[in-house]
Amino acid sequence: MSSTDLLGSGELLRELARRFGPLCLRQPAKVRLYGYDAMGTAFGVPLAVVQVEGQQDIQDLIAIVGRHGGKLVARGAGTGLSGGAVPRDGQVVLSLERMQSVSRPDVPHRRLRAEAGVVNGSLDAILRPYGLFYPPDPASYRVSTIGGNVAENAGGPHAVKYGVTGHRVAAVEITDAEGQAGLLTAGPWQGGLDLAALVTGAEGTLGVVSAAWLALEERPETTVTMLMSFAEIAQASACVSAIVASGVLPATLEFLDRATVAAVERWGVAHYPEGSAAVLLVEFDGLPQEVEGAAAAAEEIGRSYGVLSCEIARTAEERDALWLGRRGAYAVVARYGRRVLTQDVTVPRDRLTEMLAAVDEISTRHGLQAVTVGHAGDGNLHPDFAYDPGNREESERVHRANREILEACVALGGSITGEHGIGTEKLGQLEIMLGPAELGLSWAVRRALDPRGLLNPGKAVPEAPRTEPGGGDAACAGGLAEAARAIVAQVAVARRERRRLSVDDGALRGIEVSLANMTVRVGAGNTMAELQAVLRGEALGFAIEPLLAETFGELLLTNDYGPEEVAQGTLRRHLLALTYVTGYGEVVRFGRDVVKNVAGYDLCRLLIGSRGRLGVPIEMTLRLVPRRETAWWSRRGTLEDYGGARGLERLFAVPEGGAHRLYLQALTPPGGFTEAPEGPEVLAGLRRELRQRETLLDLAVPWSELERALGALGHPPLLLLPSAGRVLARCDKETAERLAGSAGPPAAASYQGVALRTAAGELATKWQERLQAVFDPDGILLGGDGP
Amino acid sequence: MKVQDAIDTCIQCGFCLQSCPTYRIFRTEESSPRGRIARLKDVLSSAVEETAENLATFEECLGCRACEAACPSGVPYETILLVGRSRLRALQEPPPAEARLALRMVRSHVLLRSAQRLWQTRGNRALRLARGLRSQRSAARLMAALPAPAEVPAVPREARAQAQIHRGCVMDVVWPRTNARAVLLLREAGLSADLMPQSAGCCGALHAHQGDLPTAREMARQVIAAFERSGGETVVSLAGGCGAHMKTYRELLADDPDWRERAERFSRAVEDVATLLDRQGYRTRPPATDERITYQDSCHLRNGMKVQAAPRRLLAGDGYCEMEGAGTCCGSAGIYNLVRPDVSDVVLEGKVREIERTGAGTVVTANPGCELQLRLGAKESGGRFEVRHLVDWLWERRA
Repeated sequence: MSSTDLLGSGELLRELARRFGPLCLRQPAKVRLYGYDAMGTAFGVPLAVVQVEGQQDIQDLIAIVGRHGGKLVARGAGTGLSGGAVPRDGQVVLSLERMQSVSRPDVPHRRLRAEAGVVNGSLDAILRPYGLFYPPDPASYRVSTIGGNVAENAGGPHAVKYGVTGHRVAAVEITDAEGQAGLLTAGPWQGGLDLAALVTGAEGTLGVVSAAWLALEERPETTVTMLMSFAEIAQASACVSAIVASGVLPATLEFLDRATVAAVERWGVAHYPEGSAAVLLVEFDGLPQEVEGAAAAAEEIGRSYGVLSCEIARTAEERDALWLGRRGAYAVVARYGRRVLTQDVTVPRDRLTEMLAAVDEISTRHGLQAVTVGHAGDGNLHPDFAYDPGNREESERVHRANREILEACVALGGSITGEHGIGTEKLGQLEIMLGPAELGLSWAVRRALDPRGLLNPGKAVPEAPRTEPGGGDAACAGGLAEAARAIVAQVAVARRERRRLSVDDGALRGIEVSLANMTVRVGAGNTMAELQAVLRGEALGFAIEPLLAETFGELLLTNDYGPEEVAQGTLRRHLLALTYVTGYGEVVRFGRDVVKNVAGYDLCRLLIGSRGRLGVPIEMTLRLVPRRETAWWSRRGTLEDYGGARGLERLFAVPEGGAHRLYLQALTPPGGFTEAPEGPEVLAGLRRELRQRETLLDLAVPWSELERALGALGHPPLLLLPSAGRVLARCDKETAERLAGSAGPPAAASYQGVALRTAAGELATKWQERLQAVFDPDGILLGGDGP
Repeated sequence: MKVQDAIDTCIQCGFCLQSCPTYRIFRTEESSPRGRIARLKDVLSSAVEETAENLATFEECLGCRACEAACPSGVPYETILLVGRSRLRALQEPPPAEARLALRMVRSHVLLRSAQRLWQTRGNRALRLARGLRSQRSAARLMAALPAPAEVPAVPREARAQAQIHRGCVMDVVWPRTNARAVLLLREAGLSADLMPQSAGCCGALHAHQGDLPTAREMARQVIAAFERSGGETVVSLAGGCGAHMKTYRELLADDPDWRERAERFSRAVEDVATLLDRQGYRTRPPATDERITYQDSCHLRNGMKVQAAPRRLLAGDGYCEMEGAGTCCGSAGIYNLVRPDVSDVVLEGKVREIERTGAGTVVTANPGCELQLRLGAKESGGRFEVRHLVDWLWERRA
């Protein structure tokens, strides 16, 4: 450190102490306690720790640190497993521990605002009285914070059914690297790029999230937890694949090997059957009739794979004991050695057996014993090595084996990290999975949003040069590689000739279904109807049934959805991977054919709702979900009448007299509804009507704004999706602009298929412009402010 | 276990954070178990200066050991805590006056008796004697929450009884009735039981927890000798704090060749009264729906002795309602409520809220310190619930 640096840090310290008083910790003994996380091997001594209490504190801290050329690391509870919140010597730690406020849940929208320091596990007691819950449950959920969960895009056992943190973040309140604060929304009220998806998992490198709006679920009525034990690992993993392929969707499907089971026994919190090579912890939740059937089916499948025993937890205490054992698995492994190197590989579900075999082969070859647990239902495995960092030779073997396991995972089409993040730990390993084009683009995004490199340097994405236009490996588009190359060539021409790019997506077609992985790859030019035809008669289907979009490309670019939004959310919950050509001319593929992937920035979901501003989609991988036996019901009344219905599948309303007729699809109807087999026909009729885009306003606003918007419209809309607050109506342009201009944030609006400017925040607008400059430096793409 | 090995067991996963009452209040790593372990590591490796300020966090710790129960890696936190406290004590010359006074008092039955009489006759004026102590006010509040003296049932002596009840120090003076009732309950449950001779004295837990290990060892030897003379097979504890400490005599005296084996035998013989009654199948009239009760764990009974289910089985019935966070500390923590009322009161407020949320008219606990602390909470919050030691509750409801 040079003398000027020392002088500078002295001034920085004084200014921090002046502004933050006792909330600025600077004594060496105190700041050292913010130098680690749960990975246990990374350590740095921060210059100071500031415990912020609100967004203004964060803005001021960024301004002060920025003025003195310092660096800032945001930290929650310090329970990360990749070093994401570990400072380097001399950096300033921004601690969010004191940001503890939680809103009352917004029941109709099933949303909750929680500040960054709120502990994930504390939400349950708050939500229980409302019959709601927040599904993401990383093993650390009892101690980890919402801010940390968002920064690392935390997963957990329940992701197999309910998705990861990223799927649950409806909006974030964020302060960016330049100290500008704002709200970034996702889902129905997004009104632009999915910036919330970009921020989630970005490890605090793009901004400091001070609060998140979380999408909740209705609490299942019944939960059954089963513990199945097997004599062979291969039997257990085959059983996993069979359960997944059978179309019953478990809430969790966890795998623990013999060594983990033995260590959990030593902890003494749970009694897992001894003498088995592997156990599966399987949970089903939902309505009683569904759960019983699913559990029986799983047990039957288990029997055909030679299950040794199948215990069913009958009480909440028994269930908690089973789970406590699983959740402590990472630290429990420390009973085998002084430190634990835990991995987080994720492969397509049908490659799980191969991945387990590879782990076994590699660790044996290096003279190591891997202790493996994992979210088998997601294809996400945590092989752990307990070792002594003081033993150099052993440490080297551990790290060599680690790298080989990552390479094996990538070769199987997987991701090197499903939920722990890149942090410092995997920064040098991201190149195993992402090519130069993806790395270059990621770094360009980071530079565009944090030009000074103020926030959490050395995490999440490595510094990498941008590839030349035409770079990237078109082979990542699979069967559409030729089409991708053709589009790259068209981009080059458009850029040279400085004219708008016009793409015919007719060639971008090809459907590959993988029932065993519960995914499908589709071309951007494929239509919804084409996929439906392919999946006819299968137990699985694609969840989103958009009202307006006909092709998958349109679906992606407009973030369209239908009445199923109430249960299935929007596309962001279902898009796993995306290949596209940027306006700069790279072919890139972000995401993998896996449900969990936190390797680098999410430049896959970012394109949802981008209306062609960033690139041309080529093909994508989508999640498939089990179909359920349901019926349609209806009732005439007010919008409030639907609230709280369990097991709701689809919901829409059409005007009828002065009120509405509510149609909903459910296994059992809420009170007062009668069977309405005409529901699908009514919906089909509305879709035909909506295809006529002329004078069509498409507006989505929060529930609290909905009545006001309907009043301002002055006449009944064609269709309402109450849960999403989406209104489809005919009106003149002036009315449409007036409504959009007064709505939000958050809000999304378009008229005749063209996005309207809503009162969306300045921050979102600034970020959008910066990103457009990265992805489309010459402005050749459609979008922007429209034709 | 050597303290360095104990520290090395921690892989800093942070699972302990939310279990820690002081972390939940102060929201700073220094007030968490993980932070305390890292601090001692820093002090021992000289990365951080060994000053009273840098070790003060060990005095702030309640010592409830909830972190041990939450720890998957099996960190023996108490070993670390005791080393931290004894090093802190070595730096504090003289140690805090209230700690010195309390430690002196509990070693003498006569002193405790006199203090009790003085309080009964002079009330608050008696505390003038303790003028100048920071904790005068907290002492007065606690004294005011003490139960009134009650008639003690006669306990016919039983020579060489198998189950020997350790009377305790404060317990023997303030709650002699509970001790006597415990003997009678154990006999009803079919055991041969009696009170251990008074010469056994205090178990020394407070001394160990305050970092005075030499005195703690001396007191341990006295208890062991008295028990051996009694000819009993089981040491029965009515106080989770004492029971858990007596279970650690084997570690406390591990380096003493003359006492190691005797301590080992003794520690193995320690049982909580709830465990014994439950094992004997003792049952009383279960609480009906309209007699709502709840249970507050004694931290050391739960986290130290790992006794959690037995008291709940003894209390089971329609009227039993499990309290949210029953396993977290009430803020009593030995003499913590005396020396750190600032922190203790915040912890107690939260506990009172949880008790009230259950709607229970009676909260049952299994340690005199917790009972006193909860009585204080009941009294100062308007008395919406009563507090009973498990033994007293069972006695009052004999079938």
